[in-house]
Amino acid sequence: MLGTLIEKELKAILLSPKFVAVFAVCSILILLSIYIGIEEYSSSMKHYEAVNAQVEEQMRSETNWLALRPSILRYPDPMEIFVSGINNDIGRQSDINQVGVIKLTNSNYSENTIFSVFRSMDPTFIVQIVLSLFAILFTYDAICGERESGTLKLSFSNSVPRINYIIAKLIGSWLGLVIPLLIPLLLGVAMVMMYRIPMTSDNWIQFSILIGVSLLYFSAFICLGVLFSAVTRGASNSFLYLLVIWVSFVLIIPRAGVMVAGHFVKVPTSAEISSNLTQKYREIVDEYSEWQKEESKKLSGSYEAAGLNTLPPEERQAKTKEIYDSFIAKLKEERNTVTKKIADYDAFLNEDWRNRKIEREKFGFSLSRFSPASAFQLAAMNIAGTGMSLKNSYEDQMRAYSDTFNRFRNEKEKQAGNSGLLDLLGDKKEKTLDISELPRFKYAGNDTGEVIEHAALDAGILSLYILLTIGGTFIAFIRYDVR
Amino acid sequence: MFKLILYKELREITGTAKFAATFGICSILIILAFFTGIKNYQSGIEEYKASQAAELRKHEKRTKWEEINNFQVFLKPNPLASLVMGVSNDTGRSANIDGRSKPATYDSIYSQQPVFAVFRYLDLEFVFQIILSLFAILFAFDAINGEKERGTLRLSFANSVPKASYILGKLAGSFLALALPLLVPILIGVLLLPLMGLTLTGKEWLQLVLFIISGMLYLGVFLTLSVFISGLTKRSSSSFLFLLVIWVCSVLIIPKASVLIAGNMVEVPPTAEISTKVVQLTRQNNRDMDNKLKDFFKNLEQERTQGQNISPEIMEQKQKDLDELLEKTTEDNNKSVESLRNRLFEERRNKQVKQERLAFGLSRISPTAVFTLAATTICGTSLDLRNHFQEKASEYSQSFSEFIRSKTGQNMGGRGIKIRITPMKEETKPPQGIDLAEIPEFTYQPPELSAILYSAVPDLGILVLFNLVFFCGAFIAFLRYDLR
Repeated sequence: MLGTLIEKELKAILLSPKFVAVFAVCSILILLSIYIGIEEYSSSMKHYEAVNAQVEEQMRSETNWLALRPSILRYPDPMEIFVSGINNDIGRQSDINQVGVIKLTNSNYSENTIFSVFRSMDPTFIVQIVLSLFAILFTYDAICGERESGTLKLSFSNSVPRINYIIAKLIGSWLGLVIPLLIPLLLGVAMVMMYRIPMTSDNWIQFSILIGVSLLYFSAFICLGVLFSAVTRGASNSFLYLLVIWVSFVLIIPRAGVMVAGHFVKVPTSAEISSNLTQKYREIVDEYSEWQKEESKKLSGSYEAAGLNTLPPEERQAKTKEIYDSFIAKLKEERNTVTKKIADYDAFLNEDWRNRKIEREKFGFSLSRFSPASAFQLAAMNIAGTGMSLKNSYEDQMRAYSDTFNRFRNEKEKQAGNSGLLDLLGDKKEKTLDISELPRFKYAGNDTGEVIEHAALDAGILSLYILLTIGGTFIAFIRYDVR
Repeated sequence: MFKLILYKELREITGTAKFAATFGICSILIILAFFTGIKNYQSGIEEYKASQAAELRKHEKRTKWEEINNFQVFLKPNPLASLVMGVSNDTGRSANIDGRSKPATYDSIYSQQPVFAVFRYLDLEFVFQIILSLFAILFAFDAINGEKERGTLRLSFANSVPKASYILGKLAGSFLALALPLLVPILIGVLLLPLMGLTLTGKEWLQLVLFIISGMLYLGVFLTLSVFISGLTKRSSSSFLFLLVIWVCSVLIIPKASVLIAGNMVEVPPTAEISTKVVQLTRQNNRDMDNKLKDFFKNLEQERTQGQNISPEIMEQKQKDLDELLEKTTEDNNKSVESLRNRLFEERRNKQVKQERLAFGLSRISPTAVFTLAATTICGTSLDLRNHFQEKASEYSQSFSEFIRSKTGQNMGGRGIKIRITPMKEETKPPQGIDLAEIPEFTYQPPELSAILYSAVPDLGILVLFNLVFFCGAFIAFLRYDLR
């Protein structure tokens, strides 16, 4: 009996003209969004390689280790094809300087603003907005539509258990909608392979989890559609209720949650942070300048005390060098202290700023998670690694790299015997640097375990929605007046 | 007769549950968009003031104007940008003024606060663009074939009703039934503006009215299109599906695909590439300067080792020569770097313009893209915002540089090198301090209304054209429609 009912439901969906149109639209959208993602990824890769090559070339032409100031770029991740998240909104590169202040700048949208006019369209957007709407379009009349057309009464004139009927409705609708959607998705995967996108095994696992969460989200809307068709008498009413819920879930709640959090948890502006840092920086540098002035005076005094003018030229040069070298060693030591002070203060400011941002994010996302659309988007971003942690994670790793890089640079500079200051009297022939040993920046993304852990909460919320709507549908249908 | 049909259509639509639900949703969304827009604007103004104060605080301990070698200016939030955000959250809101180079903008809202980028904001443009266009379709997809399916079309034409009056009544009735109720939440939203303490200037009110007109024109496009398709198809389910496909293409596919095509056809070099080239030249210039300085000191040392007696007067002259050498080399280096930077950015800008023209030209097949371009132009949040802010910051950079020159007698910028070969003179007078209030104020002035109108009229014209074409299509389709 159940098999026959499922088959009937499947046939009803697959043979309807609505299905052909919706299937065609979905297929085009999914394939187009994957294609757009591939194009964007390729262009990011091109940009990454071009800028990196120039940075390398520039570093190779340097003659002084202290003059090395590389720019580190975010490495494009193939998962951005499927979930762009905040990838286009946050900066793509940061300079590595001696002070160790890291700031991601030049976001894709601020640099290529044309792409932000109509925004990007990734497969997650299609699932979140279009497929959820289509799920409703297919299921809003699953029960009440049959009642209106009289086929429900006809079906129950036979000895059909209600429980079997509703199970068949749910399974039939799910299979009828989900299986055809897997076709464009598989074609999309083939496209990714055809374009030789370097997906690692971790990426494929992330992609599989993403498909799983997408199915959960899609199923939640299918079940919601069937539930409302079982609690209303007319298909038009069911459709309207569902439309109101769809607008609330997809458009209102996610935005409202974050906006409410924005008004309740205040975060200082970047200008305020930068002003605080600059003030401190100036304070420290002013102190250093004063100290340097005093030391310079002492240097002049040392030259005079050594009676340089009375010495023969060779001896005078040697003595001058000795005094000067000791002065430079002192300067370097003090400069390192100053650099550390500034870096420490920057880290302190950023930590406080970040904590407040995290507080706001947590509050905003907790409110918005009431909507399955938010839960789905947050899960998708966490799985793909393009969520809120992307910026912090990159900045932390860049800061750590900056420490390693500066240590290496100082060591090399020490070995080369450079003062780091302009040696106006020296006659050393300048050689370009051998940067083959330079430590390289490599971003470590989340491993699969962390990905699953991050997405578990949102996947759980989606599963809860499905269970609640299935439970509601059973109860509503058992009490449904089929006449 | 026309009035009667119009009245019937109005009554039919406004009496349905569909109307009540859509009216409810639209009202909530529109009022919410106004409310959140006003709140965002107010917090934007607070942040703007805090940033300005922070910038002044940065310099308050300075005692000499020479010490101010850069100054940050900010883009003041625009009240209309809170209602129609366009690209205002994606473009940089700060510019660094160093008196030398053309200021680049940075620190966009979304890059600084990515939490808002996750779900984006709910603004009026989004409500019109996505929700209201969908509702226009829902209202009119069965305007003609639905009546045929129910048998009411044949019944109406059993009386002596001219087809032309009927279709005109249908179109006008549907439009009024959709547009008039929308004006209620819009009016409430407009009332919220002064009630919540947001005062608009006369120009801004005019911009808002123009935006509402463009929104109504956009709704008209989807409404007339729906009636047109309904007049071309026999069944309401078919017209609904066709319209859904057209909606997806118009709202989602065409605008994004156009930008993608333009992005592939016209390549714009990344700014990082330009910066690297500029840094390369700067480093080369610095090395050349170092060599010049080395030569200067080598000569000085030679004179010293040759046992020449260098009197304090000669040393004073040498100091002057050194200062001149530094000043001239710095100026030459700045000029060469700026000329390279300007040339590269000019080339980039030209390519960007070409890319934008191609993308927007292609995207204008879609009424949604046309509406987006018109709405953002009217409200000052189109791509021009970024260019205009950069231009204004550039103008300010010149006046700021002149101000610093008037105070210090020297140009801003340079490598910051000062070398003394004569004993430092102790300053006789203690530092006087500087009055930061003297710094010329930067206030972003948006473009004039005439300039906005000039840019928006072509898109408004296209929207009118879409309306006319679909109206004529609906009219002709209905005249040839088989009523049986």
